[in-house]
Amino acid sequence: MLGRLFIADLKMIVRNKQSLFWAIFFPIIFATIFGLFRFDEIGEAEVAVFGEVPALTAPVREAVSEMEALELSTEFPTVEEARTALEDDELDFVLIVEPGGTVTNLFNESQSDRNGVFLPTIRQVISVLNFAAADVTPVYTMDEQGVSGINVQYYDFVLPGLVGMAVMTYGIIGLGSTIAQYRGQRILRRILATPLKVRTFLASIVLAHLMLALVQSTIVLLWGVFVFGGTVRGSILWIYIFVLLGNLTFLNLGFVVGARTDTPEAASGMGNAIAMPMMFFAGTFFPTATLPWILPTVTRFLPLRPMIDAIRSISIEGTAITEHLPEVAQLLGWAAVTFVLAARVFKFERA
Amino acid sequence: MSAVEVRDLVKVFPQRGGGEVRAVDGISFSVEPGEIFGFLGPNGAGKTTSLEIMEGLQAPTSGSARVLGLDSTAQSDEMKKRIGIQLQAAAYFDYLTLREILELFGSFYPRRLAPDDLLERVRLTEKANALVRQLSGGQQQRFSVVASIVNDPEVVFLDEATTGLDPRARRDLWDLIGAIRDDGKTVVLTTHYMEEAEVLCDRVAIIDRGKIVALDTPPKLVTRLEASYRIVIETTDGYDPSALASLPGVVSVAEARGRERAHELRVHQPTETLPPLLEWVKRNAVGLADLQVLPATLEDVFLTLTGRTIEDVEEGER
Repeated sequence: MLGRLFIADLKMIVRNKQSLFWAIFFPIIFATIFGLFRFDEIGEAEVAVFGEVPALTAPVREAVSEMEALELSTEFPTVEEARTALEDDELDFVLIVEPGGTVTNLFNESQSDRNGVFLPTIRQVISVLNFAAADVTPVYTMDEQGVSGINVQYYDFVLPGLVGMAVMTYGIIGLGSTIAQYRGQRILRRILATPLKVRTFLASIVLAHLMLALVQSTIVLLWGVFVFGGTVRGSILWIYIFVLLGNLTFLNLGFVVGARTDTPEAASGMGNAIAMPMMFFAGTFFPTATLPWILPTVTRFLPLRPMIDAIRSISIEGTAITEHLPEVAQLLGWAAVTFVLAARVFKFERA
Repeated sequence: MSAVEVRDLVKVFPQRGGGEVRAVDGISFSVEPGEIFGFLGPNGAGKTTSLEIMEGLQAPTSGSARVLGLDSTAQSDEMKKRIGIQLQAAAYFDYLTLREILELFGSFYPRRLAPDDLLERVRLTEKANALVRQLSGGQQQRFSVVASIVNDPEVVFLDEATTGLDPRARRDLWDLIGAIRDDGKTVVLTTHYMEEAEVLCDRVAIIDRGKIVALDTPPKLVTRLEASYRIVIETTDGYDPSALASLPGVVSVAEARGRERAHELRVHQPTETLPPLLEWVKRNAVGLADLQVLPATLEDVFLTLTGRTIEDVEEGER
């Protein structure tokens, strides 16, 4: 009986094109957009060097061209043309070497992210030149060793967030609208009139939605990895477990939304009011540490947060579930609390 | 044993802002196996509440309902296996085909009928792979009735099965419900259509404001009336209708609804009233446009018992 219901529920999910859009295509669109913008590929800085005294200018030119992150540009014959190019974002820096040795660095203030990355490199060029001019061997040198040994791309950071987003929005909004419709059209009451146990009926819906959540996360990850070169280092099994654990809470919230609304439209509105802020505040797209006031702490307690944190760590660092027991506990706690809430507000009839 | 046995049933709903409504106010009756039993009354009379208590969907405030000897509240699990239900204004799943819905609902019961046989019975075989919303209103109602017998039930409850249908689709459904009864099943239905109760039901309970005001076969309900016939008279000229009231055997005179210079007389016996009526027409040289003698209907029964028509009651609530 449960099996037949489960199959019927899956059929209904797949045939409902509108909700399938939100479940699958909406996250795919996000994964595509984030894949097209290469946020962390900032490239090299284009630097033009000018000066009246060749003996002072030549070493600067040489140092710039030797620096890995910088590229010497000889495209612009005069300072004026270089200045215009700077304003048009065709150049990043214009260095003017004065006869006294002062190096004037012109840059476009509107490019704050690139400036933040490259200004220290320009300063490094100057100190390298100073050491050479003074003929000193530096006392301190730095041996840089990244500890994790992993080059974390922004895409690898955002992909697990998109998995969480997809599962959460469909859990809350998809289930919410289904339940709202079932109650609005008195289908729940029709079920109540049969010998079928209500808990069997609800269990089949939950199982079908958990199944769909696994399909969602698989599709989003496959898309991210194979189309946009994202990386998933940890075990997909651990990711699935957190998808299911987190979804328990979202499905409970879906039941709450469905209990409070009578039409799919109303459920969708109410579901969005819960899902949208949670999506941003739980760190789906960017770390929440930069939020003001107590928000970084408060947002830690959103149910989406431990789910995304764990999936992100498994995906980026390849950790195992045993390293995420606090997240497991947090998610189970949320599932229990929201279950009680859902059981209290759920009803079969229109108000 | 009666198929349905209802004793002193009361259902009280608390009202918003205090007070309470007695939706069902102490009704008792029994339904015999193999009959079509109708609840007739205006919207809000307590029909659906009574039905839902019998179906085990609501608990009574006091009194009891037993179906097939099983208590509707205490033994509802066992009872639900043996009854079939069609709910008022209830839909089925949007994204399952007719056959899938019947298979699914059948799987809820230990005993079930083949979906294709059921669909053939209501001439929906070609629609087996269609969705409910692709059906016409009449087809949807036929489907919802046939879905209620998916478990081959002994008692079938139908709530306003024909509401909103055109006359042809309604008659179609009457045939189906009659056929279900002829299979040996007991049918309990609600309606606010007088004609439906008269044509379809073996016995009718007229319900008003939560109480049963009359219960009998339709012909007996009518013949119990003081005035069991109506005479409709339409004239070409104006006349004084008060003269009609003083004719022998006339119980009441009213203007015929929607017609000019026409009156409706409620009479004991046409044989008693007709000769003096024709005499009066002749004497006053009134031109006769129409003259009909009709048996009284359940409509007259309802009017006599409650002092108003079902239409009056339902218009009043709008």
